Amino acid sequence: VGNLASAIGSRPEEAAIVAQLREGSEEAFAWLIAKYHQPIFSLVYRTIPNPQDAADLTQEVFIKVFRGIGKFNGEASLRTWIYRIALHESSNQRRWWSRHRQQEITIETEIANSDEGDGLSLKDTLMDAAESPFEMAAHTEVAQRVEAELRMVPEPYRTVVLLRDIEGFAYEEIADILKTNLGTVKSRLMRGRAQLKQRLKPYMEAASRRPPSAAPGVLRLEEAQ
Amino acid sequence: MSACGKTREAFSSYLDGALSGREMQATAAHLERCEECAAEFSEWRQMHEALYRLGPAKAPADLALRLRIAVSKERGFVGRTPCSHLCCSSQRDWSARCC
Repeated sequence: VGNLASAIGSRPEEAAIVAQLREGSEEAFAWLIAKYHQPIFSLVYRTIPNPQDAADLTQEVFIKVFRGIGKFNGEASLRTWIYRIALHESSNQRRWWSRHRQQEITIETEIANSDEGDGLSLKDTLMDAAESPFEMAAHTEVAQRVEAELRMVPEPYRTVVLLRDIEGFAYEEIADILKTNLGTVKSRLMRGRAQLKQRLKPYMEAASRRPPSAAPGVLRLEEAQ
Repeated sequence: MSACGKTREAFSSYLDGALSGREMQATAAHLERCEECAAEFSEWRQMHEALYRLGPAKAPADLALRLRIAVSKERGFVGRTPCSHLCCSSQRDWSARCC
């Protein structure tokens, strides 16, 4: 497994790694975990209703990979197969959530964490008549806002946006992971991005009206250009 | 569809450079002469930039270790013959089983 880190890239090399995974090589699984635990966690974190479950669900994904590697037939790449398992687990979690937990979500439910550890509630993401977008922007860091608004983009659009704009997959790879066609990928991506843009618009406008020195660390999307 | 409508339909692919050369040129040319579409595309670009800057959600520092332990436990279980004890069949955590 010495050169595993640079190995995946061609089918014969991947086949060699898969063979070692099938044999139950501890080293091969250690490599697999090192390579994929971060991106899989990130994807799961943003595609399930309660991000606090992301670590547990990531563990489920890798257990499924371990159990299922014997049935991996190589039709898709190893990466594609792992992402499919992750998205399947996320989808199951969303279904479970909608059946059992949705009614428990209150307007105070935390949906993201700030750097200071303070929760960002659903309430914070909604437009408040008492607080202008300008004022809201002044109290919110860009990452928190984008994270929260991204979470509000419905499926299946959000997953495609995540795969493209966070994970950097090509359209063809996304189509392969989702077992759909290119046209559907492009259409979902366009709709997901359009919804996110629309959701972020008030904050972008607020940020553009704000003097650059008014409040360090607040939303300044215009400045990012 | 109007020229503006057609251009806006292409914004997502234009961001990715996923249009044909001719379509890229046509979109760029339209944005040069249409202020409204240029402003709209500026919002798309800002959204895209914000998303890019967001980056991946950071995994807990101990997650990789935790996963290795979980897979290791699973490997240990796979090698064993399941017993017929009721307590074992009802417990999900293999490490907590009686045998």
